[in-house]
Amino acid sequence: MTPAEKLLDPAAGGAIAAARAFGIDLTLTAGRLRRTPEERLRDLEQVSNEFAQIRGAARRTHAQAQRNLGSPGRA
Amino acid sequence: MLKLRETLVPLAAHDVDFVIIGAVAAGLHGSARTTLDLDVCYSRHTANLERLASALAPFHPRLRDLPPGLPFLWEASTLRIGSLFTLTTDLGDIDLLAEVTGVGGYPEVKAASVPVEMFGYRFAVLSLDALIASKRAIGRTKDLLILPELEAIREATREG
Repeated sequence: MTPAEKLLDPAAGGAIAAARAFGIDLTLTAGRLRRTPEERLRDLEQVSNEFAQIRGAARRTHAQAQRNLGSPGRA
Repeated sequence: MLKLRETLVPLAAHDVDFVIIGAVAAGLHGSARTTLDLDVCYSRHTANLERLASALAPFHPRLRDLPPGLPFLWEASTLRIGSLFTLTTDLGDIDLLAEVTGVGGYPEVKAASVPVEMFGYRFAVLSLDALIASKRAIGRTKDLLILPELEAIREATREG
């Protein structure tokens, strides 16, 4: 079995089964293991940057909401 | 914005002695966790500090927690006076550590690394065993949460 296959079909009582029971989505990890180190780095970079963009948008939205709350109310 | 290739290649091209650690090392081992910065452990030998300073200088490193407007001099002498630098650069955030909790100083970290070929260079990446030991030793919630996945990867990639 390949490492990715082992992750998706774990033996009972092992670390893989424990990770699955802990709630780790091992399909994502298996997908990463099928890729080359360069591809893993690119994936990590892409996901990180998308996460940063979402976080930035959420912060801007929150800041705008705070400004709106502080602005004079309508009559 | 995190530009990993654009950061790592100049370090390798300048022959900087460093080891990729932290979440990027975990990602290279197959972890699906994400991160917003690159952590590296570096040798504090004088010549290496010169190379490290030169490699990152074009990307305008600056301490992340430094208030805007305060001057920051990026050069080898700056690196000599500290052992942990949390930097922001044009290529993203980079943390420079002279030692890794649970593993040791640069010689121990280098000895606990594995080679990974990327982009035409051979990079030293903290081994899965050392990464697990480090996360366990640090013991913060965010470090402990990644342990089940790392231990699963170790089991899956074990020979036999």
